Amino acid sequence: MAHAAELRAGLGYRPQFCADLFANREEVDIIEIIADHYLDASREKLAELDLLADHFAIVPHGLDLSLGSAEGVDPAYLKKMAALVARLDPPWWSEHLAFTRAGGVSIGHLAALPYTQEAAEAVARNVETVRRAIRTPLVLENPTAIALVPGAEMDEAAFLTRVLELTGCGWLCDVTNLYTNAINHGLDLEAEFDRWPWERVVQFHIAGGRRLRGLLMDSHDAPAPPEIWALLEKILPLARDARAIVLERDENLPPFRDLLEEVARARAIGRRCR
Amino acid sequence: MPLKETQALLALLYTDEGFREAFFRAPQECARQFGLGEAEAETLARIDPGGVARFADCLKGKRALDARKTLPLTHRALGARFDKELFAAISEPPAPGRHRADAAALARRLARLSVEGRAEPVWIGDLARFEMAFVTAGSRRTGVWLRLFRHPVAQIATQLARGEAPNARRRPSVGVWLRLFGSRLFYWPER
Repeated sequence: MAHAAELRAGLGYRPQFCADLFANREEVDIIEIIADHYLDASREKLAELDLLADHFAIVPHGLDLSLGSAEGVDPAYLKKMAALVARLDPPWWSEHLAFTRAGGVSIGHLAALPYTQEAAEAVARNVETVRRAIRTPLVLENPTAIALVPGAEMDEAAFLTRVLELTGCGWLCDVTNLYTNAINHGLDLEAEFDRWPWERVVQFHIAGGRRLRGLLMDSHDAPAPPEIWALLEKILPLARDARAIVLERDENLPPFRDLLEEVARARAIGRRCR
Repeated sequence: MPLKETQALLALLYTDEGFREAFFRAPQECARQFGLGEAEAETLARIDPGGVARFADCLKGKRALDARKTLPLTHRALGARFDKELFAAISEPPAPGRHRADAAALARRLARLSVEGRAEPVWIGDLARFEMAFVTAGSRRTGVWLRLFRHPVAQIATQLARGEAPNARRRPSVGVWLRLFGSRLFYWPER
């Protein structure tokens, strides 16, 4: 992957702010689309996507490829994803280091993998399968882990590093997920800071969440809190190849101007810290 | 731990309340039934029940959120009762394409309650079927869909969308949806 010429700042696309996005397009360098929303899309929805692609740099972000499934990835889903990526021809696309399907059950959300060599190798096999269908670089996102699987042979930092080594993929560093896992599982991110593969970061995610019954949730329904911005500032000087910071917001959408201010803040931090 | 068997067990553990209860009553026995060996079953039995419950709640929350987005007017009409009705309609683990499957299950439940005279408001079953017809038709490239309703559901939907309180009386109505070779979706009578 080429060295980053610039660090773009943008946001996850949601149809609710489509008009505002076009009206303010000079303030958004990149947008990320949820790939799954376009895999079985109508002609109208694909036309909307083409219009977006005419005006913005776009990266697709998948939710349900289940790269961590021991039973492999769903060929029908992969075929649709390949068609979407081919349509957009993005600089990279992303998926999660998680599993969402197993034993005929579609879990409906990202479930944490056991931090084992076997799981890392399963991801590597699946990535190989995916690469045969999609040549565009794939970057892997660290998910939140609400339920940890017993029997771990390593911690999350070592597991992520191992997977990136085995697959050669870049890292979509979700700063909020890193922070959320650290808080929920009582980890000292500061003390372990040097163990994360910051040099592999291609893209960042920034989001806010909320506390639910004592647990931090990456619910994407609030502005990113100061702790997340501080962590981003600390990571950025070490992430020399990072090429984009993308703000995620799914619920409780504020006035679009508020989102643009967060994007501008990400851009300013990117310029200051690299 | 054999990953395939472990993941199959975890997927059920996260999504099936009945299985979850059975597992935490006898975790090692349950794990062995999934083909895990003695040591592996013992390891998996150490999974934190609190963490599993929180993740399961999180999944239910996601399913509710998706169903609310799929049937927004039904959600508006039911308000806080929407999630309760949804969870009564979806006891099974999510199927592939769960967004539509969950919404369809809720629509079927509300339609049944309406027929049995146990729905409040009385037209909610019609409304859920009406919204679901758009979802179904929108997801196919070609087809014609005909729905019969007991109430003037298009009028009810329009009133709800405008933020008005629907005041419809029982009066049969019909909806027809048409889509040809991925064309735009046509609906009659137009709202």
